Amino acid sequence: MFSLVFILVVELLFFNFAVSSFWGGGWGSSVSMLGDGENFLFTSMIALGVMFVIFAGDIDLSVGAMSGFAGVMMAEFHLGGMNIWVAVVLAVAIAALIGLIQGLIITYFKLESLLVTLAGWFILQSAALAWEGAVPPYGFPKHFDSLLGTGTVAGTVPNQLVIFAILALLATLIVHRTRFGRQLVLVGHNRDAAGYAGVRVSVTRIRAFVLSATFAGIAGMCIAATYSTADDNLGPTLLLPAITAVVLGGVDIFGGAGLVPGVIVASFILGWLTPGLLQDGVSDTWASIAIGVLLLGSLTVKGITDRRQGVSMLDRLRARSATATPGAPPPAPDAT
Amino acid sequence: MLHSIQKWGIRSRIATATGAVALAAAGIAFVTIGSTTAAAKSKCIKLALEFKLQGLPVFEANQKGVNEAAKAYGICSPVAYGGPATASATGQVTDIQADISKHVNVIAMTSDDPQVPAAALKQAMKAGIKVVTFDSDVPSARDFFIQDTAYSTIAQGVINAAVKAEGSSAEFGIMSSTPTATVQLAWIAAMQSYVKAKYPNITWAPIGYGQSIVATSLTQAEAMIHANPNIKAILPIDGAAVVGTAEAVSDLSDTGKIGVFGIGDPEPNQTYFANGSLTALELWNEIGQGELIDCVAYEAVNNKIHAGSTFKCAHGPSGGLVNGPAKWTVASGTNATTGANKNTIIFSKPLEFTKANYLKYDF
Amino acid sequence: MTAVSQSLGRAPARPGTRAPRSSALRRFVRRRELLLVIITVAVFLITDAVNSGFGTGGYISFMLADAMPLAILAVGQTIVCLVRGIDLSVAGVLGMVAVSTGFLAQDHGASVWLMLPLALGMGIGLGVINGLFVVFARIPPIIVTLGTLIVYQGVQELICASRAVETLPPMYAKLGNDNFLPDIPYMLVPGVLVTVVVALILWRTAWGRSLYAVGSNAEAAFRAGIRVKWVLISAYTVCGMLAGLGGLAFLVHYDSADSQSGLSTSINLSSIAAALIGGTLLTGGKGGVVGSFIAALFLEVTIQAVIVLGVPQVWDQAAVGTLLLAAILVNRYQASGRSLSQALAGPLRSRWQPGHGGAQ
Repeated sequence: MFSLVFILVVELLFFNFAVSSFWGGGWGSSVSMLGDGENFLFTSMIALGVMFVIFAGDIDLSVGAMSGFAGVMMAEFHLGGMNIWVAVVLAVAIAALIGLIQGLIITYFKLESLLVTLAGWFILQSAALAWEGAVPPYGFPKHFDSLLGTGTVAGTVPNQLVIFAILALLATLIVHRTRFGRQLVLVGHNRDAAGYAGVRVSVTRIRAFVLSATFAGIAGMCIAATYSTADDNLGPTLLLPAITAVVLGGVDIFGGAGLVPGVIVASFILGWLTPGLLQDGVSDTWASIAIGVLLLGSLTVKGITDRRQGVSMLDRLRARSATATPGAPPPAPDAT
Repeated sequence: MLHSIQKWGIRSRIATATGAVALAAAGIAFVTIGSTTAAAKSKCIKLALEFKLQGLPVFEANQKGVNEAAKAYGICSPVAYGGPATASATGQVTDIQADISKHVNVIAMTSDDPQVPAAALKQAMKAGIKVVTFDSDVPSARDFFIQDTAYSTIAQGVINAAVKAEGSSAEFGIMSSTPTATVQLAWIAAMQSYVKAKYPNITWAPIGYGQSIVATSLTQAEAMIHANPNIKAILPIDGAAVVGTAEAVSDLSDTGKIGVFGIGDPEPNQTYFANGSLTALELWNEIGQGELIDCVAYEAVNNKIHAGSTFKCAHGPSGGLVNGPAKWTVASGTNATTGANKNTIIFSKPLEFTKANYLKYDF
Repeated sequence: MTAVSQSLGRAPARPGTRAPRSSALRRFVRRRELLLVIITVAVFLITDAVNSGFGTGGYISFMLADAMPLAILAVGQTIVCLVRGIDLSVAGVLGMVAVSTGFLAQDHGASVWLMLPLALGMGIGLGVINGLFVVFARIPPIIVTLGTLIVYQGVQELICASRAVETLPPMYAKLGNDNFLPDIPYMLVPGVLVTVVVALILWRTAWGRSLYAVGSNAEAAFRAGIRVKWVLISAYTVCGMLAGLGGLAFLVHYDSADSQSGLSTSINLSSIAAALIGGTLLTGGKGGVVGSFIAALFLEVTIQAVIVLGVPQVWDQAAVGTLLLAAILVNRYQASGRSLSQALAGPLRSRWQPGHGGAQ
């Protein structure tokens, strides 16, 4: 966790010196460090959402398409005459409902979450494409664009940052301070043990899917406001960056370990990386290579420090085994 | 946090501190070098090119034209090929914001989406940057738009070529890129209305969408051929669609049975011209278009043109503008035939590439 | 006893029983693949009934050829899934190999046979990188391969440098699209060959068995003397090698390659989907390459059927997604050995049965 903050500080320092306009022409100028947030804060929101599911040992590949679909849904409702805020609430609610359905399918039929949410991705993106027609909906009321997208509080703090801060705080509290959060992590750590301990595993997993879909829906609203248009393409491209942020943030992809603040810091690291590099004159291609290298590099360091702390390869493999050997104590949780 | 630091040995702490200092020093070095070169260049017009995505030969040709004529218009050269790694409008938005922070004078862009970059482009215009779109427009947020050709003219060119080869009462199919691609939609509309007016006996198979990817276009074309056994001509209207469709026709050994007439550039399709699966392509001189971009950028930065005005352009070394009009016109309003709207400049009449001349062009 | 029998990774064993014999294993495996074949043929026949153009020889030949790059990738993916891993970088390897060999062919007229060892070699190198990260840097495979995917795709773009592979010597198109027997394309040969060879290796060799062992219970495998690290590294290496072969197959089939090759055709996720539909489990220890091969064909036929049946193209993806869901549902019932009515009774009935935990 400290290493993540360190990386963030180093990154900001580097850009501060290397890129003359990183902080922009004073706070609040449209192209400034905070302004860059317009382009990545919704990815961070999606990352927070999918984080819940990953904690529980599952994965949700449909979050990207879900954002896009929610955006299109909201826009089409609005075009059809609905008040935009009603449309927003309705769209997010329907997104949550779809998350619920996915969770039910996965737990009831005992299917791989990867496959079901993959199918969900395809279906949602298709539905968005079909609904939007030849000319995707655009042109929302200015106050909507401003409040959820590009506006600022007192001219400096972007509204999206405020929204993200609220969501981040919620997520941290849910995971680290509620019973649901503890159950969530336990289910991811050892599903059988959680079951034996009396946790309602299916319900917990389903709740995680609902949360991830809701966050994705909210992100979809912010995306639509930022670009003032809704499109089936705007969401799915955010899936990989979101998962990268979660993993970079120290959450174990198999579930059961990680800290929410880690994900928050990691999403900022990734979010500022691309615009910062671009402003420094680096090409898009090298910027994306840089992300890959950053991901591998930081996790390699983490992996090597794990060894020093005595978590051997065997321990990790043992902790991965699907079946808990009856009678053996559950393996010790990985140090973060 | 302190607890974590205390777990580190003294050596690690020193190493980390050194690393941080080194990085900061590198950063300072960057900015010093950067600012000196920036100072030297400040006399010329800084043009930022933003294409739909990286690595497309047609855009390479545009860039070549831009660079060849740059000196004539006082534009800083070389101009880099800007564009996201994949055809992503949001990627373009990030690039535009980087351009704004670099204080360029003009952004010239062909967009992946008619709406998404609008907010960023408006920011650019507010910051005093001129925005010139070309090929694929963002109508609500630009100073000028260079339209490739009059939509009706290029549509007619494609249809006439197809009818000439296959007759006027056959079944045609269109292979497009994505269902929302603006310029493709405009071409489709123009083709369909021309056919309705002049060749009413032509029937249409459902439109296929190759997603601007060769592999998908190939699969879609094969499916189209098999789902519509009477189809006589396929009209691919996007670079990847042309390659995919021509490949499909030659794969299925339908060369001769099904004709391919499209909108695209000749160089990637040399094999298909040679083996006969591709009959005709309509396009415009991409290099010349690049030169026009320079010209319009120069005129715009110097505030010399507006709706309704005319202007002249020098000819660049490749002679790409040689076949253009003596004076260029900026449209003052909407024109239903050409498809132009306010502040549009129509680039050229379509060029037709066939087996006879395809080797003459290197784009 | 339980650990050892579990390491063979087939039917769940209860204490006191012996491990099932290999011929029974073989029969169990074939049942699952048979069902998949039946589904594929059913989709094919239904589509053919609606649109007779579907069943023509030319189209069948095209579909077979078209499915092969995916099939080869799916076989590689299966190997990695067996050891409880996943390889998201296959699309990147495919793309890098396709453009590298493609440019050599375009610029220097290199022949396919010369490019074959190059493709395999590149694949091996790129795959080894994955394996090393997984084993020595202790990073979960999904993350390693996500990282290498990003890097490989970036390198692919750098190799292309605004050019694309457009004109290849005619031999490439011939191999990629022509038939050597009526309606049997050349492309089918590498696909079938790879599947058969890998299947035999998995069934007959110690290395193959050790893959199942490590995937099923790594600790038990380690204590049984299997060199787990070597098995893991080799699994990713082989997957990379096959992805390289897939890249060459991609090049000859599409007769072109560019910076987007492999990126947008969702071949990445499709290779995983094919492995999973074919009966391989992400949790390792179970599965087979024959199923993956058939699943690749199933995906191909489905995608084509959806277009030909006249489903408006905007619903293409949704149709594939739905069929995917249906396929894994059916697969699930079949794998758990329950009848449909038992399965519908819900999760409670089977929850507390010992030994079933591994099926998750």
